[in-house]
Amino acid sequence: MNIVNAILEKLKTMGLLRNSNALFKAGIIIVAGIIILSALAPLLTPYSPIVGTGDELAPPSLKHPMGTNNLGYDMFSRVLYGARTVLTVVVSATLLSMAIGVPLGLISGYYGGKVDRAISIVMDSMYAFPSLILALAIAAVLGASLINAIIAIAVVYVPTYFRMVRGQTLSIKSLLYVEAARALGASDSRIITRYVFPNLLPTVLVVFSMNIADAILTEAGLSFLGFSVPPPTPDWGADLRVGHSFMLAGYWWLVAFPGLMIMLLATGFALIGEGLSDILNPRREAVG
Amino acid sequence: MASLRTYVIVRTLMTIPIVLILLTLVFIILRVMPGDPITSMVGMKAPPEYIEMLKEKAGLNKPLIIQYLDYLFGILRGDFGRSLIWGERPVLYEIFDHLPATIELTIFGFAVSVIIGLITGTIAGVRSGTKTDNALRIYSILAYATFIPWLGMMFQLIFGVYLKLLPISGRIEPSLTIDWKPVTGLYVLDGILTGRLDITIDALKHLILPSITLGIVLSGAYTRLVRANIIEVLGQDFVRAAKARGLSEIKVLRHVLKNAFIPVLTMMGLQFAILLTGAVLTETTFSWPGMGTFLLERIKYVDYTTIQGTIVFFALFVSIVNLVVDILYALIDPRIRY
Amino acid sequence: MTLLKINNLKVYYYTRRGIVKAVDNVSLAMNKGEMVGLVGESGSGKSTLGLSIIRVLPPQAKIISGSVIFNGTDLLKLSEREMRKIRGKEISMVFQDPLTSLDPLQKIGDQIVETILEHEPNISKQEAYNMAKKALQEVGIPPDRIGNYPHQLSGGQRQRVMIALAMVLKPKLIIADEPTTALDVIVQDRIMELLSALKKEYGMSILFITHDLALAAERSDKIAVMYAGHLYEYGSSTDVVNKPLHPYTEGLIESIPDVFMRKEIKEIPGQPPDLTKPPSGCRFHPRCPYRMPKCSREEPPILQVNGRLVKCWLYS
Repeated sequence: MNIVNAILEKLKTMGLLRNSNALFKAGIIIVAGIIILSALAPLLTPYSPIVGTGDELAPPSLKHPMGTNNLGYDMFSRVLYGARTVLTVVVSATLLSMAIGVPLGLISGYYGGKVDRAISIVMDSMYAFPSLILALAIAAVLGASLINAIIAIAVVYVPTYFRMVRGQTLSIKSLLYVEAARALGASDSRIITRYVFPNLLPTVLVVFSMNIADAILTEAGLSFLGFSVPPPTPDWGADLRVGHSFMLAGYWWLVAFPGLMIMLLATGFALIGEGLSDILNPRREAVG
Repeated sequence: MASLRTYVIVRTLMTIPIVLILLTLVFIILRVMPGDPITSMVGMKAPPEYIEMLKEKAGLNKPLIIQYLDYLFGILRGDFGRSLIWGERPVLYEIFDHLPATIELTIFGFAVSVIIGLITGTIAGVRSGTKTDNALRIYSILAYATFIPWLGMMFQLIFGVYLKLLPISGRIEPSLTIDWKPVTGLYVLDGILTGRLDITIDALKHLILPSITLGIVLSGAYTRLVRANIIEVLGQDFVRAAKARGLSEIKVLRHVLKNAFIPVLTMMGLQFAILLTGAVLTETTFSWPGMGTFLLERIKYVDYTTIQGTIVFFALFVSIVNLVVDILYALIDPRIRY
Repeated sequence: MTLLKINNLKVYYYTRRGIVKAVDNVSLAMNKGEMVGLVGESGSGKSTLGLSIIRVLPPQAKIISGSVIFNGTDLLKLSEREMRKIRGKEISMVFQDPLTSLDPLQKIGDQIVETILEHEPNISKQEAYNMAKKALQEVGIPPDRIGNYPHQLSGGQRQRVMIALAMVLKPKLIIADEPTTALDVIVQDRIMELLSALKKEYGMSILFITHDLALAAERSDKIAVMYAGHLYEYGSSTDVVNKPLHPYTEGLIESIPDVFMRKEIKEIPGQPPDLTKPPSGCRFHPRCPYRMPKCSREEPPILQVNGRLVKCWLYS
């Protein structure tokens, strides 16, 4: 319970809602909007995303606001349901990376030594590797499925959390009041739960939302290359791949909307991350 | 400058463990992960004899530790294995066939992103806090959040399908290369080298859309980084001191830019990984016959040794680029020495 | 002969917290060949005053009114282009932190040469190099270090390079803004020695900005005391130190520690005011031991007492 209280305290002192800025609000509105629309999808469209309407390659109209694709699927429905796929994969994957990367970074940064050096060099090597190619290799070996896409993306982002948490832990560990607590005989577990972890929280939140934005693009990339959910599951990246050749024939609506949604959702999370980091690190004004 | 030499040597030696770890990682991902790579790539429905044959060919039937040592020493000798299809051609040859296309694309894409990033970042940094700065901040977020294939397709739609101004796929018009042999594989350069300016011009035309697509998406990161550095440098005393010596604004700006761009250089190393990721997507979108398209094609054909070789090559490539960037950094910044 | 005459200068900072009246109606005159110590606590406006003379203020600062007459021309009326010709050639500046005041990526010699060529386009590069070498020698840096980068020099050496940069074109005025604060005491003394020597050798005037009244008194001909954006006392060093007129100056002198502990150190009670909301009347009145009812109501005028200037109701 100790740790929960410490986190709540930290969140309160961060004063997120009081100090929220335009970027943060815009990001929340975009993300919440997409989540609500995809949750309400059955109410918003009469069409299933994976059943043909019989109307193939129909341009956007009142009946099909985003047109239909080559199989007669309603694009609006696919875009709404596609958000569910993307969010499921991306949120599970980033939570998984966080669950691995954060404790690893904490231990590595807090205890240091040989283990730290070994983990660090592995993480740094992974971090330098092109993320999509790494995810692609993993997904290719494991086979294309929702779970495997989650695993592939999760592996790619573990170093992101690790590096950040390790660096932060190192600096928090050397804060005077933490050293004082240790000098007074506080146990390692108490220092970690009481001081280190709560102080990590703001940065973890910023990195988490930035990371989701990045993972959305990686997921889209994987499925665009054919290594995420198998068809006919609605997925924006996959729709872009299928729609590509039709777009060249002028059926632009097959790709325009799913691609816009990728950008919008990634922008939403990036804005939340930007806003958060502005709130957490307000620029101080120098007066000479 | 003996200290610079020490730096170069130490930094080069540091690359060795990194490369070893990357190679091991690739091995773990491709061999040790649950399941059997060949089966999962071919699919369960393939006949077992066929799967066995592929495994045999790829050396997957030996004990894991032997496989690992074979793999490491093979790479050490420059042996990346032989293709399982395509008449057992050495993988390295195939890589070198496709590498120039990717290098040409990344050079141009990189140039576009750096030019946009430096200009927008400098403007945003010099005018920090103004509306221009805010607008450029939004630009950098949007650029970063743009999905490369989507932007590429929009360009194809506008400039290729509707306006019919630019080619939308491939590197070159095939009819131009009928009795022409490239020298380096970089067509823009080869056209000049062989006195075929028509080839250079055509290659450039093919490069415009892919490199702008790649460049725009990657420029956002540079905009932010350059902006942050400019602001930091502008706040430093030596800028005020330079002004106080009566240096003209251009000269002062030169001091600012030089100091602000150095950290950008280190980021270029890290950005290179992102550049390659972007290049894979760009290549697929524009049917660009580079490493990305090549890798995907071989994944489709379950050419296991080629897949492994290509990924290993990517790992080596990234490590070497990072090494080169770090050494360049040390050459420019006299403070970086051991 | 008057070299610099600042009249009723007002410089305000426009910050998110409000308008900071950093320099508020300050007048000050300096003669040729004189060293004037401008003394005040941090935030008193002394650095802002120095930066206003050559107009290199931070963007949020604005010169509201007043004039800065240098050698007969009002610097505040010059265009930016004309001003650039003054900076570094007629008036130059030495800053507090020599590590951050030099471009870390440029050899020290190149920084000097760059300055010379900017102002003297007719000089050849070789000549400029020789001038730079000579300037380095004059400030006590071996000329063979001309190819060094700033980080290869010690703190004191860097400040010498800054001084070489400031004096290489033989300006009439050097503004030295806390030139020794970042250095240790012994180096501090040598730098002051160097500035005094340059003053004597070339007849340069030096505006020595510092928080250290003792250091200023030791080397300067005159001392000006600033507090909260106002100039409170200005007179010859010996007079100001031996017989301070303004209560603030008195407080400053009493707070100087004495190495031999012959006297008690007395701190001035209270804190300097927030300049977005300066106190009414005399800005020192909340901390003044001699305050009168009038002090909080009306701003004192600047009075001439025994050949010096003082801004205090005690003398009217």
